[in-house]
Amino acid sequence: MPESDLLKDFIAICGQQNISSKELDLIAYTSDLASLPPLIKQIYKIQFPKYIIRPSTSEEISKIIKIAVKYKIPFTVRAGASSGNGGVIPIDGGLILDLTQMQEILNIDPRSYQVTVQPGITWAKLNFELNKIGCITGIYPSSSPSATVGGFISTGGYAGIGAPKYGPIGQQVQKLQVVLPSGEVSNIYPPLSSLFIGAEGTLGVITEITLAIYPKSQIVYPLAFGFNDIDSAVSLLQTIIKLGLKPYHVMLFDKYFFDISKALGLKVPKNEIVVFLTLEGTELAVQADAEKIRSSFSETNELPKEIADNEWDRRFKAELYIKRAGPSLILLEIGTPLINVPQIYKTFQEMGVREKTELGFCGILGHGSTMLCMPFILTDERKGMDYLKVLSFSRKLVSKAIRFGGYPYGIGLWGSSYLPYIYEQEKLKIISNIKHLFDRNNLCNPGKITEDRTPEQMRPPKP
Amino acid sequence: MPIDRQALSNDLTNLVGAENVIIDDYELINYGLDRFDREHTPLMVVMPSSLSHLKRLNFILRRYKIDSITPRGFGLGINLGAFSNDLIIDLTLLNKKLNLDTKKLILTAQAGISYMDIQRELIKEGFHLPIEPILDGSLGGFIASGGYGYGSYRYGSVMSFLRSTTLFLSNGEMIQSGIPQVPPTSSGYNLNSLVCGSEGYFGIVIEAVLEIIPLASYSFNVLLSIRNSTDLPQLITNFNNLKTLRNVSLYKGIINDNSSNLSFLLRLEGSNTAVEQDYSSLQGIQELNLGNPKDANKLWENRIIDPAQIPASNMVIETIIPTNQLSRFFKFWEASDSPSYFGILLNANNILLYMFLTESMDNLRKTGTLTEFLKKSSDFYAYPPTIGNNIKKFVKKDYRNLHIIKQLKPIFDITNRLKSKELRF
Repeated sequence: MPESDLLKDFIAICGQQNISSKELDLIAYTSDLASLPPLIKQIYKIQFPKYIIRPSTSEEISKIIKIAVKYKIPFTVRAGASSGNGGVIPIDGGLILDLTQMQEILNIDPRSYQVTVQPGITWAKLNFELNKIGCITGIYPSSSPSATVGGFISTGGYAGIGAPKYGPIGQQVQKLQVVLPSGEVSNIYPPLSSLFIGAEGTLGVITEITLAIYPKSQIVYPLAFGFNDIDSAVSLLQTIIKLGLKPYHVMLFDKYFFDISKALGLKVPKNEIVVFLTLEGTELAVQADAEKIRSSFSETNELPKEIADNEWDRRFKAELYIKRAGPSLILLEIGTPLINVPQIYKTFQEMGVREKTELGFCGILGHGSTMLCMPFILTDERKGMDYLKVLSFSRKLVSKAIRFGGYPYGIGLWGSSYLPYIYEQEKLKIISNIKHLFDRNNLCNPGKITEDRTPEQMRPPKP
Repeated sequence: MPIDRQALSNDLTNLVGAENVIIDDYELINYGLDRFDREHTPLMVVMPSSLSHLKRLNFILRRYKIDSITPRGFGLGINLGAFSNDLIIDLTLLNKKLNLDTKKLILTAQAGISYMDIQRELIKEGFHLPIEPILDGSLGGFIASGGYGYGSYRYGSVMSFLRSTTLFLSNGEMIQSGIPQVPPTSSGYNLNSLVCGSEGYFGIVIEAVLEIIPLASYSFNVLLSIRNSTDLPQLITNFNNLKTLRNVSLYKGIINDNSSNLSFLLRLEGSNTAVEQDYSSLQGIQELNLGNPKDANKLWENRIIDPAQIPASNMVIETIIPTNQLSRFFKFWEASDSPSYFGILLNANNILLYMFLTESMDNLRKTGTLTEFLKKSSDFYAYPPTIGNNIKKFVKKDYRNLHIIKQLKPIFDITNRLKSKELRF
């Protein structure tokens, strides 16, 4: 089909104003939150998309996909692009379906505590609207101002604010509407909906989400504890979990993070490791829980309330602060049993010293005594070979973490090469067949999860 | 070509021992006698007790061209999912607790273990599994039948705390459906979603890794009732404000109280202060009659139903209904002869209901009552949590993603051997 006819079809579906093929747009849409210097684009052979399309409804998406299938054009879904795993990078070019215009709240039912939204709504906007009727979502990502509901679901939604108390997003999804790679619009119910959660848009485009919501708590009460070492900090968290307490949100930072924050003029604690722990509930219940936590630890551990309150207030900005110190940031995300965190942390520090690379560490407590570890390295993507060296070091860190029971959270373009170290051969075959069943021509976000496009020079070492 | 039953039996006996192969017709009736029916008698039953038995069993299945096998735990599924005229693989000898890691908070156990036996053991150690089945079935059976039960109100289904299963595929391979170390909701395809509730359709669950949680420091059972089912929606909304609510069960015509009342058993768990606050807020609701705490405790202690208590001649219908349809549905149901039922609130929106009928399944079929009920239930947006053998024919082609599930089956079950032929859609 001639390009001009194709464009005419897309314009007829979505309107001229919602299609772009401007060079600047196309460049912007080849990357996500992570740094992506030209050298890496070349090595991975990342192509430019042909058109950026901003649909508004599932019907429009269905029509676009049917055309894409007919002419074998790859398509990649994207919304806030606030992840750094390359999950929204259109490696084979083709179409970008930008869902940021699909941000309607379709239905709020405060009686049955349920909300139905389009995927492009940000978590911040959704919670702003829910707060008006005295409700909240169970979990939301710390990148809430830019992260969308569809994006968080597509990347697994395992760790975020609210995870220890309300569980991962899968526990809150009641129904998904998905445009399958055939163009068919289908309602997907639990438990099958969990197949699409974390599938990074490779099995179809999520176009509507029905979520459980919860009554907003009377108070949110942040606490902060400082430690001289990682073992004591993790021991605090284990004690809290064993007490049966369910904090609302827990973050752990190392000194390197605070050194960076201090350089930006922020007031910071001086400890090696700091745990920020937030409780929510009725005032009486929260105070009772806080006392239980305090009585488990030496008084010297607790930091002034002001420090805890400040960190809660800027909970959406941690990544921003680190990035500002950059200019470039490599941030890894690794899910791991909480008990293994000290071992992973110490190993990373040793590796950093050995390879003369300074690295920081933060973690978010997830569901079921696990932690999302986020080691990070500040670097400069403009220094091509130096950047590649740091990138290669970061891949060694993930491989090492796998040995200690870690699992890369977010696979995207960069993480597929770890899967043979985690899955059995038979499982790799099965997930590949599942992808093929839904997407026979491999057009729906190709190069992710079931395919490894990692070039030889970028391949991570065996764990 | 018909299967040489004697030769097959000999080979199976060589594999697992004579005591673990059931071929005698009289004994086989036990496997045809699920809770409410006795229509099927299997070809034979084999009881493997190790993974190596399962692997070697696969060679025998191939040699005899066995084209249908059905995994079975305790066989308690209401909808007869563990029934077959063909070969049954009884997993009850795979019943070991393999590992309890109280630091990582995970438990690994074989599929044939009694779910409540593990629960009782965990409670002694200060932990528990957050959801409990209604009948004391096997761990594998609970997972395969969807895993809803006591505690679902707060924790959802078994999917919420299932890390991974070891799935034995019909081609003899084994895979992990999730990641034992971390929750399976990180990126990637969560194959647990295809194991939970799939009734052994994709593979045989032989082991499972589950998250355990520490017991709450304080718990309190509350029995309450309302006279009028029109008060239900408001009551359910009120439940949502209770931060410590783990379980809500509903009873009508089952416990000894005024049969015109709808009774609820609430289980509150959390810190002393939080539980007491929730209880105070319940006391403030005018339409509620709060029951005797002793009765509440007794009801909670006896929550797991002994299958022997349900007369085999009776029929139980199991269905999930949106709570906003409940008042309307109860009116319809109460017009029947024996309006007794039991339910578990799954969340603010859905309830899992068990309706007890004094008529047998055969009678219901003959009189068309069951057909009428199942057809009518779609008017209330009701759907069965398991499909089994019992209600397969009432399930529509587009029933809750069944068309997708059907297409996924050959990816896992390459030999197309899993489940009895009549259960394949």
